[in-house]
Amino acid sequence: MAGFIRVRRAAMAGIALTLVTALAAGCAGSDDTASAGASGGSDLSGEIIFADYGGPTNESRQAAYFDGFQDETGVEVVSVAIEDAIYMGMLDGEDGDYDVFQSSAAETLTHTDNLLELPEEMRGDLLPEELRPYVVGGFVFGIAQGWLTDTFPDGGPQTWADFFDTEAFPGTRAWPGAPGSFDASYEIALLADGVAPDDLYPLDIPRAEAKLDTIRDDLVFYQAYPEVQQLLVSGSAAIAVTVTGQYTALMNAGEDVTIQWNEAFVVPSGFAFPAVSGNPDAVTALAGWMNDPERQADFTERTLYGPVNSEVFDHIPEDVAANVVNSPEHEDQVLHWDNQWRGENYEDLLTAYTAWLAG
Amino acid sequence: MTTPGTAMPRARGIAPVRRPPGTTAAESRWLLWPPLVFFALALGFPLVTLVIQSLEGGGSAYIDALDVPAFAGSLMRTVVMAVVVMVLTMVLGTAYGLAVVASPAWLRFALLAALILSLWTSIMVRSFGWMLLELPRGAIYWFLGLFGLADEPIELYQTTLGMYPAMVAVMLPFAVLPVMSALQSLDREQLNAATIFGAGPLLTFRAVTWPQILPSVLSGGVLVFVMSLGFYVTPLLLGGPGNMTVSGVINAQMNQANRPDIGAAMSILLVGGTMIVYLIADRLFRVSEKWG
Repeated sequence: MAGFIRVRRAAMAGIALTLVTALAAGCAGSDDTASAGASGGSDLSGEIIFADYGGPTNESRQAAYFDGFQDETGVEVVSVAIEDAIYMGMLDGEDGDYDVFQSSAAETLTHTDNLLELPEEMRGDLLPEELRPYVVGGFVFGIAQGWLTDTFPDGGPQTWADFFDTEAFPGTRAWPGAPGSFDASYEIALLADGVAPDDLYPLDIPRAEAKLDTIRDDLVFYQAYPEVQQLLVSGSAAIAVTVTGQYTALMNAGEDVTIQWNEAFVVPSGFAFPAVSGNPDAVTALAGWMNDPERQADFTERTLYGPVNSEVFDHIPEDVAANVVNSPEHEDQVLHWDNQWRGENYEDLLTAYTAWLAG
Repeated sequence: MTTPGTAMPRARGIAPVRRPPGTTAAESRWLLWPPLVFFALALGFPLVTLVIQSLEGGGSAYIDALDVPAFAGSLMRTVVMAVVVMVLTMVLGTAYGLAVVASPAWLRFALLAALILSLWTSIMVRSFGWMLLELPRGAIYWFLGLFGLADEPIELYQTTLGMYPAMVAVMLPFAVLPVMSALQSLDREQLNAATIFGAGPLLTFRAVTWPQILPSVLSGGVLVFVMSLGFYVTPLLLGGPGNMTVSGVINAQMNQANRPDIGAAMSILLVGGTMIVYLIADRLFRVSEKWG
C-alpha cells in the first residue's frame, strides 16, 4: 500500500505539473487583467494529501468540507488511506507523503515537536486545552456501553459497575479483542472496581486486570468494531462496549438501540499537521475551513461524531444532539481520559493488554 | 500436473546432473539462473531487509522482543497449533485425495470444485463465514434446531475447538493436491498385479499405494505446517484472543507500538525457531529423504 500511495502521489504530482505547465503556457499570451482574474481572492495552489481511514466518514468529510473548499480555493483535497508506517514516521519527524494525517490525541500530544501550531482562531474550543493548537479537523467520538433496547425491558446497566454485574444483567458482553487495542478497557475496569473518575491516573493495571478476569468468561471478543453489530443483532452478545458510531450504524439500520451515556468516555481525535507538510498554507486554510461551525454541524449530522467547536450546537437539532457524546445535555455524565498519560504510557498499556488478551 | 505441493520438493531436483536430453552442461547452468534470481529477490532480499531492520538498535530488539510478555507464550502456541493443523490436515487431506481419485466422474468434479472454490475465496471471508456458523445462535444452532437437537445456544464460537475446523478447511487444498497428483501417476498395472497375487484392498493399499503417496503426504504436511505458522485472523476470531498467534503479537508491535525492529526480531525468531523444529523433525523422521 505504501508503494501504491507513493506511485499515486507521483502520478498526481505529474498531473499537477502538467496542468501547471499548460496553464503557464496558456497564460503567457494573455494580458495582465486575465491572470489577475484567474487567481481570484485566493493565493493558494496545489493540492492537499489528506490521510484518513476512508469509508463513510471520509465521504462525509468530502461532502461537508472538501467539495466546498475546492470550489472556494481551487485546492484539491486528495484523500488517501492512511498507512501506519508512514504517519508514525512523520510523527517522528521523518519525511512522508501526507500533508495532514489522522492521529490520536495521545500520539499528537507526545509528538508536538514535529507538528505545526494552528492560529488561535482555528482551534476547537471543545478539545482539551493542551491539544487545541495541534488538531486540524477535530472531531470527538464516544466509547460507551450499549444494547438492543429489548434486551433489558426494565432498564439496562447504568454504570460500569452494573456492566460487571452479570447476575443483575445476564448475558455475554462484546469487548475489544484485537492485539493492542486496549481502548478504555483499564479505565472501565477500575471505575467498576470503585476507583473515582478523578483518581484513575496513573492506571493501576494489575488491579484493572484482576477486575477484568472476573468477567472474562462472559466476554466475547471482537477484532474490528463493525463485528459488534453482528454480535448484538445475532443475540451473541447482550451488551457491547465500543465506539458509539457502531450503535449509530445499528440505529440507521432500523434497530432500537440504547446507548448508556452515563460514564461514557469522550475521545478527542483529529488530524496532525506535520512540520514537513508539503503545502502548509493550504492546510492552514483547510483547518480554518473545517473549524467553521456550520460546516462542522453538517459533518456532525452526517456522522454523529461530536464537534470540537461549541457553536456547532446552535446549528444542530435536539434529536441529533441527543446522540452526540459531547453535547451539552451529556456534559454531567460523560468522562474524559488523560490523553497525556495514555500517550506517555502507550507501549506499556499495549503490551500489558496484549498479554492479558492472550491469557 | 504441477501443484503447489509438488513444486516445492522438486525445486531441490534442479541440479544439472539429470539434465534434459539434448542440453549441454552450459545450457543447464543457464537454466539455473531464473529460479535462483527469483529466490534471491522473493525470499533472500526481504529476509535480509528483515534482519537489518531487527538489528537497527544494535540487537537490543531481540531482548526487547523476549521481554514482550505475550511473545514467548504465543510463539509456543503457534508452533503447537501448526503441528495440530498439520496432522489433522494430512489425515483428512489424504482421505480426501483418495476419495477424489476413487469417485465417479460427477462426484470427483464436485469434490474438486469445492476444493478449488475455497482456494479462490479470501481467508477473511471464509473466517467470517465460520463465525456466522459458530455464533451461539448461528447457522449450526439453527440447523440443529430443525431436528430439535439444540435446546440452548451452542458454545463453540471463540473456543479452541471452534477454530480448528476452519483452519483445517483453509489448509486442506495444500494437502489434497499433492496426494491427488501422486495417486493419478500411480501405475494401475501394479494394483492389478497385487490383486492377481491375491492381496485384498487393505494389503494393496498398505503395500502398493501408501509407499508411493507417502512422499506427497509428507511434503503436503510440511507445506501446511509452514503456512500455518502465519495464521492470524482465523484463530483470533474463532478461537478467541486466548489463542492469539505470534502474528498477532508481531502485528501489535509493527502497527500499534510503532516498533518495527521488535516486530522484525520476532519474525526472525519465528523463522529461526521453525527451522530448528524442522531440522529436529528431519533428524527423527527423515522427512526430506522421502520427498520425491
